[in-house]
Order: sequence, then structure tokens, then C-alpha cells
Amino acid sequence: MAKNTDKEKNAVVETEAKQEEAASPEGDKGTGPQTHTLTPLQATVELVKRGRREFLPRLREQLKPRPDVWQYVGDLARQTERAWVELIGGQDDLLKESLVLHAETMRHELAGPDPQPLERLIVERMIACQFQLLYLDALEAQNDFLKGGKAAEHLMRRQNQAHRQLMDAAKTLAIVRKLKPPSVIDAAPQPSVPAAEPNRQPKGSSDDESAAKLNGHNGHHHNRLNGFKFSAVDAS
Amino acid sequence: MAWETRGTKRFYYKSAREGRTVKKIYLGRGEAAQRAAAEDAAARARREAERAELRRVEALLEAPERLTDQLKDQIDVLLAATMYAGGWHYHRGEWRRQRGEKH
Repeated sequence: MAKNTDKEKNAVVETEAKQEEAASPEGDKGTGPQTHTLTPLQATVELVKRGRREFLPRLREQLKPRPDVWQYVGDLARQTERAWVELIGGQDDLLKESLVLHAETMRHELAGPDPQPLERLIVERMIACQFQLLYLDALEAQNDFLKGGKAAEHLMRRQNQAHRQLMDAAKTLAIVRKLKPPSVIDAAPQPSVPAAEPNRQPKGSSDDESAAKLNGHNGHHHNRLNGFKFSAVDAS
Repeated sequence: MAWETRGTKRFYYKSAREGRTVKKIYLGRGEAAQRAAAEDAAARARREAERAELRRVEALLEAPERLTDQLKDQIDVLLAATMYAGGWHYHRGEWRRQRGEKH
């Protein structure tokens, strides 16, 4: 019964992937409004995740340089940062500008001198999570009713969740840097998928062992909290 | 915690938990009852105000958190696509090199 269910699911995902591609008259050439969504890519990833390795060539094809995809996600990242800055800063323009500068500093420190596009996006996610955590911490600091009782418990759950998301993003960044997936897309258009980099392994260890022994952070990128004080909790 | 009518008079009862049971405490209708009723009403109002404030904060958080979640989802798709295309697979919470993959 479970196998039938998996087959049905695979069939549904495969159909959706084909429909999404068919809907785009230009295929994967990157034109049309639907190419700004990741749905076809998402569907193909889902198929590969379920063991349908015959879709790997399609996946690689879909990952060929698509600056519009990266631009779309990059714009989403900027939009997210703006939303948090507006919420935290409220009517205080000086605070908002400070937050934007803080984000820029974090971006520079975390991403390093020459980040891959995927690394840049993960750093954007870390910045968003950081702002979320800062806002929740400021809420607790400025509101007595959030220091006890059910409201405080609810807030603590939110803070823990935000902290976990920040740590997950940091871990993902470390993984991407350590594993250096060979087909990382370059945002600039290229005629073909870049050749894979050799996976650097310490002598005597297998790929699986090195992946399993990930220590996480590279070490030289530190998330420095400057300790913001917020002038207003509410934002109109 | 309520005024209860007996005949033509009203008396104030307060509820108090003792272990697993809840007991009603009679406070009468005098000054103590009036004071207790006022305190209970104030506490109720305070709790309702806190709930309202929490709802307001949740409403403010809704948009940025939705964007943050969307960003996470999009990045996850790109990450997974990149890793799978590069010959990795996700197994038991880790990315591992697919056996036989040569790049």
C-alpha cells in the first residue's frame, strides 16, 4: 500500500513538473513571468529527492545560469530585510538607517570577500533571522506583561524558534562552504554548467565520513551582535 | 469569581483551586466582597489587555515572518537543487556524496 502511495505521489509531482514546463513557452530559457518562480525546479528536486535519479539531467538543465531566478530570490531577501527594518524601526528613521548599516556590516562579515550566489542568499536569511530575534528580544525587554505567564511562554517559544532558524542558517552556510557543491550556479550567464571542483578530503577519510564530521562554522566569520536598543516596540 | 443571586440579594463567590478540585469561597456582599470583585474585574481586564497586545504584536510579525519563511523555502529549493545536481544526496540529516558519482 505504501509503495502505491509513493508511486501516486511521484506521478503527481512528475505531472506537475511537466505541466509547469509546458506552461512556459520558452522552456528553461528564462523568459515569461512564470520563470520567476521556482515551481518547476521545486518539482524536479522533489522527484530527485524521492529517488528518481533519471531526473538529474533535467535538474542540471534547470540549474543552468538563470540570473532571473537568483535576482528574484535576492529581491525577496531585500524585501524581507526591509520589512524587518520597518517593523523594528517604526517611526525612527535614524534607527532604521542604523539597522540597514548593521545588515550591511553583517553581510560583509558573514559573506566574506567572494561569496557564491547561494552563500549570499544564506547570509541574507541569517540577517532576516537575526532581525527577527532582535525584535522578539526587544519586545520582551520593553513589555512587563511578557516577562511572566502564558504570554511570556508564548514569546519564549517564538524566540527559541527564531534562534533555531538562525543556527540552522549558519550551519547551512558552513555546509555549503565546506562541501562546495560543484554545480553552484554563477549568476553571470555562462555557456555551460561549471566543471565540478574536486572535493577536498583529508587523507584516509571517505566522503561520507567527512560529511558526517562537519564541525559547522568555518571560524573566521562571526556573527557580532552589537546589542540594539529599540526606541519603540510598535510600528504604525 | 462571580456575583450570585439568592432571592433578592447578591453575594460574591470566589473560585480557588485546591489540588485537583476547584472550591467556591463565599465572601458575602459587604466591603470584602466589593473589594474582591473589583480586584477580579481589574485582573480580568489586565489579562484581556495583555491578550489584545499579544494579538497586535502577532499581527505586526505576520508579514515579515511570512517573507522570512518564503525566503527560507526558496533558498532550500536552490540548495537542494544545487546539492543533488552536484552528486550529493540527503541521508539521515546529512548531505553525503552519492556513490559512483564522479564530477
